[in-house]
Amino acid sequence: MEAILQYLLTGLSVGSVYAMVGLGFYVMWSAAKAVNFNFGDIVMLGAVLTVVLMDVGVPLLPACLGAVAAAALLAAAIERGFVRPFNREANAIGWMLTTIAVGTMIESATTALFGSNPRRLETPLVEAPLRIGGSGIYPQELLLPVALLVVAVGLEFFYRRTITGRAMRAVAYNRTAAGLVGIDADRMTLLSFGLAGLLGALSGVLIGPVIQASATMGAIIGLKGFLVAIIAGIANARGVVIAGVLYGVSEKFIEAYLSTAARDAIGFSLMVLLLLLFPQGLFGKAEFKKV
Amino acid sequence: MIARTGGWIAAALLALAIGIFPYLGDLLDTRFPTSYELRLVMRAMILGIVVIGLNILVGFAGLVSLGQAALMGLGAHAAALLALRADWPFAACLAASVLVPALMGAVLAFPTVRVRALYLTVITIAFGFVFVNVLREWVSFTGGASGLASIPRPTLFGERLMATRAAGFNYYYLIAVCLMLALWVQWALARSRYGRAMRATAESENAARALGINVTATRTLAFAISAGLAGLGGGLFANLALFVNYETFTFSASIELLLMTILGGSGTLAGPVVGTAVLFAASQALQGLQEWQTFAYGALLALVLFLMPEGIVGGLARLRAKLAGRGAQERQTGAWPHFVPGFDALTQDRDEPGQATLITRDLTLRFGGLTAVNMVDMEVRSGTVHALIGPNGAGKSSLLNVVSGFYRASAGTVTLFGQAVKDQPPHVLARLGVARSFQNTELFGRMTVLENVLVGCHIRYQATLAETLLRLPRFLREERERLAEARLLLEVVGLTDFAGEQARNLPFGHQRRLEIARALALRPKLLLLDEPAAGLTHGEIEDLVALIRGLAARGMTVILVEHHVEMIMAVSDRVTVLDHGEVIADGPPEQVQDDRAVIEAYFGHGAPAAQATVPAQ
Repeated sequence: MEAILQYLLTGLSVGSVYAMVGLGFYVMWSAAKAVNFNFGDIVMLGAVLTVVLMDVGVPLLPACLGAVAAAALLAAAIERGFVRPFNREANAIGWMLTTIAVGTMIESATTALFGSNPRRLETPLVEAPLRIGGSGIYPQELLLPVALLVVAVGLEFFYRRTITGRAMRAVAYNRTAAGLVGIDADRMTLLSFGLAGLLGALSGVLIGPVIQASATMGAIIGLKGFLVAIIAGIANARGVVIAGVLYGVSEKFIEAYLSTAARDAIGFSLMVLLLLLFPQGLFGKAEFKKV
Repeated sequence: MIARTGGWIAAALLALAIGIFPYLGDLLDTRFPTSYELRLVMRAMILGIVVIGLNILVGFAGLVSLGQAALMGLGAHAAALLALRADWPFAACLAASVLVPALMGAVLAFPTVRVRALYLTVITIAFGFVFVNVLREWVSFTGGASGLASIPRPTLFGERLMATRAAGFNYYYLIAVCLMLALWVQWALARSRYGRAMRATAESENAARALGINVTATRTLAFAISAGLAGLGGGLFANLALFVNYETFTFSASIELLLMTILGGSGTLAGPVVGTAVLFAASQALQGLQEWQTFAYGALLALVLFLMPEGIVGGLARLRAKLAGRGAQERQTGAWPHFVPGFDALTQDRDEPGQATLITRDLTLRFGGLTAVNMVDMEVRSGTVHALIGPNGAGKSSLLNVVSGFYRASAGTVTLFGQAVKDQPPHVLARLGVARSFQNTELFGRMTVLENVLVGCHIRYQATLAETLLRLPRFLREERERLAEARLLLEVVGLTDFAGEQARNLPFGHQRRLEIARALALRPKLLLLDEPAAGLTHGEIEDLVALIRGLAARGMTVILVEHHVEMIMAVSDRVTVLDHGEVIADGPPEQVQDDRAVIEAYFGHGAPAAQATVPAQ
């Protein structure tokens, strides 16, 4: 029983990260019908830059804020420099290639400069695990679902109640029509990528203390976040949150009852199977393709 | 023609260069190449095979795979494991190294590409990651980090295959033959309906579906072929190194393969060879960068995409076209419609005269709360021109989209040629004989005018993939016939001189003509035209009227969505008027023109009937 509680909690925790990253993909996709393919690197930079800032003596909280801000700016810059020029035609694939290129550069540069060994990201919340029965969980891990909740509610509020958020939704719904009523669609897309970067970097900062910061930490998280978004039906924020958490929890149960080594193989196969059964995603509506 | 001969000469030169390379030392009287250089060239040729496969995927089908190295690894491991654990002979192992990844490719592609091409890319990343993971963790089966060693040396027809002088460099030449075969497959695909269908789906999914192309099947095929070639490369690699482990097949290897494809020029036939050669040579130099090597790949990929997105070969081709363009001859736009003698033969497939070609009953289409088409009953007689008119937002195009299968009706029935067809996808309806044009012309912009029309002939090929790749008689005959047909149709619409031009470079009026010629290539029994006159000049509209009447005279049924009243009066046999998704009038044009309800729909209540019949321009 306690074991199950443990799996649920750790699963909820890691699932919250997938959900947050998935939300990042959702935000980008909504605005641009394109994404930063190596979004995982923004996640990674959130954690790595925090460590770097703390190395030079910045205290924890300002370091986190600085890292998140820097990573979000970079995310927006990637939109401007690498997505927008390659997403002009309806069937463009250039943005996939350019974001992959820039992601490869970020990751390998980080490996070269930061070192290939993972580094600890110290916070007071990973000093001592809480005891739940026989097993332990860090308070930091419990912080993640809370953060997800705040982020999800905040995003909903932003999209529905603020003028910028509404403009973004208008762009997502119909780019041309949004342009006709005076919304600068390009600017909204830029902001969306920045916003997604904020979500990604934040999740990186929050998971960093649990899994340690390294140049390669983002790739897998980014991939899982993307898959979660796809399985949810990429245009459905609530679905992304649910799918992310569910995926995190199932991972922990696969680890516990089947095999740690085969966790990702089973998880990804499950995703492909789900996509086969639900082409529009678990929570997506049948897509209406305008002709 | 020059380009074609040039291609053959280039291929022959490549074969010659590869052929004499092992014996180069004898000619120059030096110790070159040593077994080291020989090995490098063999590895480059193997990568070339994989990159050709990736080019078919990226350059033709417009899909991106980031798991190509893993698929190559799958082929390598299939070959290695079957040789080690099951004692399969080399030839069988090599066949498995093609088939296993090809099958895996189909399994990955089918669930993803039917939703969104992008999803395939994500799944290939996941596949690559899981593949490496499995190899690393499943030590008892794959050897883990120490890999699979001491793979038996391959033998074929009793000959041991090696790249040594004593063996006559037979393994080297086997790889070379495989490379040439891969090039052949690429060429044979490119110049066939399969390659054209792949490029068409990449350019405009909607237009491809309207011409009877099954987009999901086409993309799945492209990825299966691409994965098969990756696997072939893997199988050859395993039997060259006689050792495999996961380190060769990582994500960054996939990026390298992608970079080779883009650098050479994706979609070009020579690109893969050039890209592989250049990058392979460069990577030998880049190895000095050590940890920055991957960074250099990323930077190079970005650089190529910004500076020469068409790659080396594409860039050179453009340069040559520019130079040749200076002395280009005048091109004549022909008068149209020009019903040349052979045209009647192309319009023989028709619905029986007097039949109802299309019947809709209670047809309804809702988008959420909005009812775009409401309980529409409509009947279109064969061989007539039936106009569908109404104010903006009346549901005309929506109705057309339901009839052609693009939108799924919420309720009601559609009967085409006497057959209930509710919920059939567009490509199935196209095969029944429904062709259409689009409100915003949807051509395959980067394909030539002639190729656009040939895509329209897609469904009338019988030759299978094997016949196509082997260039068997049936394929050759069909290709010759379709080519003649396509040229004839271009003559009908007066575009003969533009056959070799990229469709996106045509002036607007010519694009409309081309779209109609392409639709006619389907040999439709029912032709749906969505605002064909929009944006045309007065003279062009008169030509369009003549064309439509000519088609109807040959027994084709035409449904026309149009705003241009004068044209409707001139061309239609019957008019159905829609307003707010409902039929408000139906009858011969003269009668509809004076209909009270129609006038009100256009002008509102109280419009004096005496002054305004529906405006005739």
